[in-house]
Amino acid sequence: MIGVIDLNISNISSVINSLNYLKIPHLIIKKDQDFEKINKLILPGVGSFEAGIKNLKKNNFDKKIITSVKIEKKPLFGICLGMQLLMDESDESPGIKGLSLIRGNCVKFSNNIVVPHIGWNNIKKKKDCKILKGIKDTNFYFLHSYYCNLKQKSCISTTVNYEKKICSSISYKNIFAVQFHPEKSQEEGLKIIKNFSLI
Amino acid sequence: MLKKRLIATLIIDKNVVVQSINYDLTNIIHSKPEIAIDYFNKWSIDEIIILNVSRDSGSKKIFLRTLKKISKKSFVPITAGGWVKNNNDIKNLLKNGADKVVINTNAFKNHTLIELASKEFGAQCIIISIDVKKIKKKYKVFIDRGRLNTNTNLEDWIKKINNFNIGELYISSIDKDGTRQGYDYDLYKFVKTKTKKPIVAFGGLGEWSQIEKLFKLTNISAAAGANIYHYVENSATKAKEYLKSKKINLR
Repeated sequence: MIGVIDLNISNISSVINSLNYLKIPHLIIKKDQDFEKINKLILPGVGSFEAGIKNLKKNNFDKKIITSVKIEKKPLFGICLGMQLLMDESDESPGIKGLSLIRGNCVKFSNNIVVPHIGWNNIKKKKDCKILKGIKDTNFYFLHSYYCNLKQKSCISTTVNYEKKICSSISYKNIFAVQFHPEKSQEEGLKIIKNFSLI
Repeated sequence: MLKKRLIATLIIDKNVVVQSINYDLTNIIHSKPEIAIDYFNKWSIDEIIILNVSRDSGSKKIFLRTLKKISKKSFVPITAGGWVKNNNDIKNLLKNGADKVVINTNAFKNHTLIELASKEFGAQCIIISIDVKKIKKKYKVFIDRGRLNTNTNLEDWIKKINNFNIGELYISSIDKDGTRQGYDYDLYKFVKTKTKKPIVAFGGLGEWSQIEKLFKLTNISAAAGANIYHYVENSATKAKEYLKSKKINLR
């Protein structure tokens, strides 16, 4: 059973729609007891870094996620803001601490380029990882103004080129995350969600 | 490299997709919007925008139901709009399947709405739409679905918008809407000099070569169209074939 964390600020329905379409069993995590019922976690999200962390903290979900991932070794899949929340901090919300499951910070794109990075862009594989099985260097839908700057470059699974080469997905032990929106990237995106469900 | 986007706009009035010509609603195109979506998915349209243009504020509920139906089948981004007055309206649209929300009249009237909305939902979630009409060689901003001339010059409104934390600008030409004569290329060239935000063009699309012209002349991010995507079979696929042959960078 996959648990989808509801940050209550964003559209989790598109993630839910894709799980329904793929007939993958899931539940929406609304209270901390729900964490006992699941063996995998999806942390979706659009919205600001601060609003995301605040909503996680309000329900004690931040601690629950860390326990699930670090101690119980449940696979975690972060999407977009859900990937950025895994970092230590973000330029978007100075002074707000992230989950620190992956070391690094989120940086804003420079003023020399149109921001946000919005639209379909092709990823480039840096290493193999379970959720990218069968995925080629193809186009995914991106929508973000900040990007993850990782301390440990070996965690980077794919990059994307927007002004410069940036990290577009991560894998590290049982932690997986993508900056793009697989739930909004048609067949190839659905394939990634399917791959995660099969881990 | 980031691709140019083709966007299909669905103009919804009382639960059906309608055609719009110079912002007057004419005939019904689809009685079931979710069927249109099936085709758009198959044809690899890059994004879908659905707008509630009903004059009746009571249409909000029916619109949310339509949105929900559409979003269940769509695995490309959906932007929804119409009758957005506060964060609660935005939340309702997001809960029913929108990924982004487009605001026009109330963004113009109430700047606080934009600040509150982007703070809560993130800048990338908020799109400001501007309806433009050329009067005596000046682009003027219209609100209330093209009915009310605010007498504000487009550049003045954009200057204000540049200070807001928003994701995109969706700029429509009332003059070109439904005419099939092509986009108002000068309008988008002009807008591009006034802002660094991503721009979506809408109004006038009747042939694929007009999209080519738009992208070659203006360097904006996305081209939206409405009627043509319904009337031409395999429309998005055909559009992409044509544009790729002209070396336009598409997915």
